[in-house]
Amino acid sequence: MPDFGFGIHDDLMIDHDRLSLAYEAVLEEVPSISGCISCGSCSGTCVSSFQSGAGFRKLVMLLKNGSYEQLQQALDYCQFCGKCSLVCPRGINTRRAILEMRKQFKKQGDDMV
Amino acid sequence: MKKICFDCIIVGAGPAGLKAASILDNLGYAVCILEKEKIPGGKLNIWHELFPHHESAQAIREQMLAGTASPIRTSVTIKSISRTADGYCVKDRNEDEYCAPALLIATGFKPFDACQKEEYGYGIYENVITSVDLEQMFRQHRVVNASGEVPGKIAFIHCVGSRDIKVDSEFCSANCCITGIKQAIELKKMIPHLNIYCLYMDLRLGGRFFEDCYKTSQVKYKVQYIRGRLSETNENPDQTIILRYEDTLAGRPAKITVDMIVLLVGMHPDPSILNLLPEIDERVGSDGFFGTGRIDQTVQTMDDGLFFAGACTGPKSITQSTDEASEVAFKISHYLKNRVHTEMEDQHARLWIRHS
Repeated sequence: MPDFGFGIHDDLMIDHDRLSLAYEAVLEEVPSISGCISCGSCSGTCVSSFQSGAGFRKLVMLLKNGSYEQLQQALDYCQFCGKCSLVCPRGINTRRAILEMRKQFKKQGDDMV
Repeated sequence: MKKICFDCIIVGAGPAGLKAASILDNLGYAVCILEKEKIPGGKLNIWHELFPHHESAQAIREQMLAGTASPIRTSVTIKSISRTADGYCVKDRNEDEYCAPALLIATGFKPFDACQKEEYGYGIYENVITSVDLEQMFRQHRVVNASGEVPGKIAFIHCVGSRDIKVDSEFCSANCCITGIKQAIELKKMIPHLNIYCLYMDLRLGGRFFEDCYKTSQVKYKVQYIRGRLSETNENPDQTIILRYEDTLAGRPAKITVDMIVLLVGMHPDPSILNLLPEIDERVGSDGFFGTGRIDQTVQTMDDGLFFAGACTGPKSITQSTDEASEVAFKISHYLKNRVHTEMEDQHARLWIRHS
């Protein structure tokens, strides 16, 4: 294949026809995540959001939309401080949810979860 | 210490109480309104202009007061309410008694106590005020920050004390969105160079002409809307306020520094009347407001002469309050008429027995 000097990058369309199995699994453990209203209180107060650009709201969104690669990167930034659970107006157990997300994408040598 | 009898006693001389009174006395009933404040008018007394048409709260208050000829007793602190065979007896602190077969509760709402949201800094930082405080400033025609200077940047914070499990109020107050937009426009009219930012989660503008108000604020007054709920505030040495939140549309954490912030406080139920009528506990919803909120009339009316109208049955605008008050006034009239009929039937029945 000749090199034309440009490529076609991956399809960026979110496929809502496909079920996010990881989301279903996390939802089963932490049902309160279904109550997220995407207000962003969690991300605004997050100590790592300044580096990662993500907060709990974004994690849920990535999980729901099946953007697992981005999600795994973002999950690495969480310090489990729990500030997001303090400000959440829907009382979501955010820390537990992040823990469950990390379990879904458990990597070798990841002894934290 | 005296006892006076009426057809209906109304507790609360706000828009709902005054509207119900005007209809009932037009229908020929003797009505008495009891008000705890020094002057009648309810929350109209602490508001400057009303959404969505910027009408003067003072003028509307005068109009409503002119609409009723019923006596209004002000500065009344109710000591007890008792049920009697003839209806209700309301006793005030001076031991005066007001008795009537029908009692209408129109006690309105209580603005949310913003000190409960400690992370927003109300009561801690001087340049954090509430929408109620801002109305007070409008009434004095002077909007300045803590050091007496005209602000250059103001942020409105939506949903303070609404839709928030952390302060035990999960309902939407429904009127703060439009109040914020109305106040933003008023501010821009007063201070044309002012930059205004509204931090919202969802703009709930379901009322008639509310969307027009929103569009006017964007197009004519250049109010800027940022989608994100405030997470925390901090104060700079110069008393300006830094806000931290997520711009949820950009998906990134964000900050802004402003001279003042206005917290759009929600409408909360006022439970004070409940302490006097403990047996109506079952008529309080899970949100703390009176009534069932259902369409089905059979679960709504108890037929015991006790009625509720206005913002004590849920967050309402003035038009919604007066609409409900009119409907309830006719229910009261119906109740009073039925009562007279049954009394007469009872008397006839007794006569019948005696003569046979």
